[in-house]
Amino acid sequence: MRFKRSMLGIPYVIFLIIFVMAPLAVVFVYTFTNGSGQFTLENFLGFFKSSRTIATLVYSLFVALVTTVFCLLIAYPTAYALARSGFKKKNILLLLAVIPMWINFTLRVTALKEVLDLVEGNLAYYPFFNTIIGQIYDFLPFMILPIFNVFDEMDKSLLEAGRDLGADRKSLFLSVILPLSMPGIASGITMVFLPAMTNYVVLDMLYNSTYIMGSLIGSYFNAYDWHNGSMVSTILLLIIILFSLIGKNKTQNA
Amino acid sequence: MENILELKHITKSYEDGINVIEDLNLTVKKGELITLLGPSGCGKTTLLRMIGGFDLPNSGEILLHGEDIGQLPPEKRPINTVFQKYALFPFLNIYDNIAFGLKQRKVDKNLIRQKVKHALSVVDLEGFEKRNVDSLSGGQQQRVAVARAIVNEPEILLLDEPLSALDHKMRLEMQAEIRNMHDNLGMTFIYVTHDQEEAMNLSDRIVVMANGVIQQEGAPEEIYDRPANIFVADFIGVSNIFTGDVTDKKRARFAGKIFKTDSDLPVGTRIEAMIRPENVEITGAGEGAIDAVVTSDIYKGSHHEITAEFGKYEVTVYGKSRVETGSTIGIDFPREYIHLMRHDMDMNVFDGVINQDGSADFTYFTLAPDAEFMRDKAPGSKVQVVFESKDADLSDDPEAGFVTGNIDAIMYIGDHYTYIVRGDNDEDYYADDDWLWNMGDRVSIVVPQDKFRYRELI
Repeated sequence: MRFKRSMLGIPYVIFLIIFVMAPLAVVFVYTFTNGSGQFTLENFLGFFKSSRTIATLVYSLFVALVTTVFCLLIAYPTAYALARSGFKKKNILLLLAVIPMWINFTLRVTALKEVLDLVEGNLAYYPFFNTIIGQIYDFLPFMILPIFNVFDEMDKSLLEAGRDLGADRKSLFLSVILPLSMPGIASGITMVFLPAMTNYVVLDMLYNSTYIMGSLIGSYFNAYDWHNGSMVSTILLLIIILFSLIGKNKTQNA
Repeated sequence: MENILELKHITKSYEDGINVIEDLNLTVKKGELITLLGPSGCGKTTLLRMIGGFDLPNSGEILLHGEDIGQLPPEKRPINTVFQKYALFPFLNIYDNIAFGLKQRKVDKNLIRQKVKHALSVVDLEGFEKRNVDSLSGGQQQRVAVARAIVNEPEILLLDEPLSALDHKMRLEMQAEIRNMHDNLGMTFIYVTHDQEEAMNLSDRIVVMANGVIQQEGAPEEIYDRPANIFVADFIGVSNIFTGDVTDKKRARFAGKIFKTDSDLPVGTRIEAMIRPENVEITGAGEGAIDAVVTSDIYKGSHHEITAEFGKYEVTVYGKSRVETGSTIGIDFPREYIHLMRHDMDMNVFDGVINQDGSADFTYFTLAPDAEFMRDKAPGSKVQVVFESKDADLSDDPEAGFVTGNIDAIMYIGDHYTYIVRGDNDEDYYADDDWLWNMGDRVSIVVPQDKFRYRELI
């Protein structure tokens, strides 16, 4: 048999089938069935009927939104400064910003917990504030990297063209630099917003007892309620697909 | 015509201290299409960027209508640029790209619409308003870039090698269009290119640059027919160049013969004689001034490019009909086409190639460039060596120097002598020496290793 290049993809296809397609199929089956294996929409309708689950969804969205906004506000100027700094030290600076990603995430949050505990006296006083700090700490590098990349690869002649056509500093930023960095912002947001909705480890470790979507799935599965757990996963999947579509549209227009 | 732009004593150096532009003076007239022409690294793009405001000169003035704009940022200058790679904004459609400059100036919306429409018609892209940048071909993007600049009605339009990314046929077409656009708009264009043919086709005036210095400025015909020096002669078109001297009033010796010329250079002047291949006359063997043996004949469509040898010289001639390789032809240099240039005796310049063993072969001698220069140089790559006559000394020990020859001319210059040493292959070297030697003395030329300056030729 002659070797074809497409055959290089076989290991990945096998992986895809076993670890992605099959579990997804199982999740779908559980989502739309009840305990006796019959088709039902009850799980779904239940989610939207219960004020507890809706509150969790809203809280998750809120935590994710605040995390994303602050990550963006911190990451954008940081990435700009990193990309504009002198060539030789640039990579070292970037490394410093990204190194936290290499350290185990629970270890990082544990360290953060100790620091916050020291400052605030008792973590229970500011659960939401602490959660946001933890989330930002966790997700910031994921926002910095894609934005850094667009700044780093930004065609300098476009900036010169902007100035040549009469744009001052402020106008150059608003009408050239910002639109050029939109793809980086968009991928930064997808990298931060969706994981931030489900990442309940930070909440747990910082003693925030409020549920987010991730905690909800965890609690259903812990109670062996595969059907509702799968249903929440499916809802998250739909949200992710929705956001990706919007994001894709936005970047294409840009 | 009134002067629109004056550059006075412009000097520009970068961090490493090397001067890119040295004490440059240039005047641009209102409404002309002037081309800055030169090989890469000659400083033409730097000069354009200083006019545009993207680089600032270290010293000197840039006067626009008599007012110094040398330190103003680009956005404050009534000058617009067409960039080498177009630099269109990918996130805007064609309309918004062209309207960008007008919007910055807060021009009325309806007026913007009219002006953009007009600019699109000037570049022949009516109806392209809604298109995306990446749906356009290179030539179309080029037109949009031009429209985006001219819509602002700048005092001066700068064009930085705008056609270099296009294929040959497209380039010719765009040259004609740019020329037409210039004539219709009456705007002042400053055009940068390394392509001498493009400069010839387009320009009212050409400024030839090398090593940050203007070598010559003038109309295309003037630069082609009467180049100021050997660099210009060599860079523009194909030329036959022979070294020699003025022997008598309106007579010069070169290529082993004495020719009548129209030149008024004083007797004794060291010269380079140039004659273009299309001006060399072919006669029957024995009927011309020189008999030469044909070494090749290449048919070029409009003419035959004939190369012929006589003695140690070679000449290129454009002929109407084919001649047999190996046959003997007669050659004449008509008096009115012989152009004499005063030979510059401050500099010794030789072109050569890198050898396999890391030395550099300059035909008459071999040198060993320093390791710093040789790093990343492949064998076969072309190099140029320059040494100044003031750094060259003479020695009677033939082993002391890197090349030997006989003294051919002696000039007393105030406190020292400048010698012309004729090498064994009839090449000339210029050397300053404090001591008086005699005509015909056998000498070798000594130059300290660190006084050789090497440059890669591209």
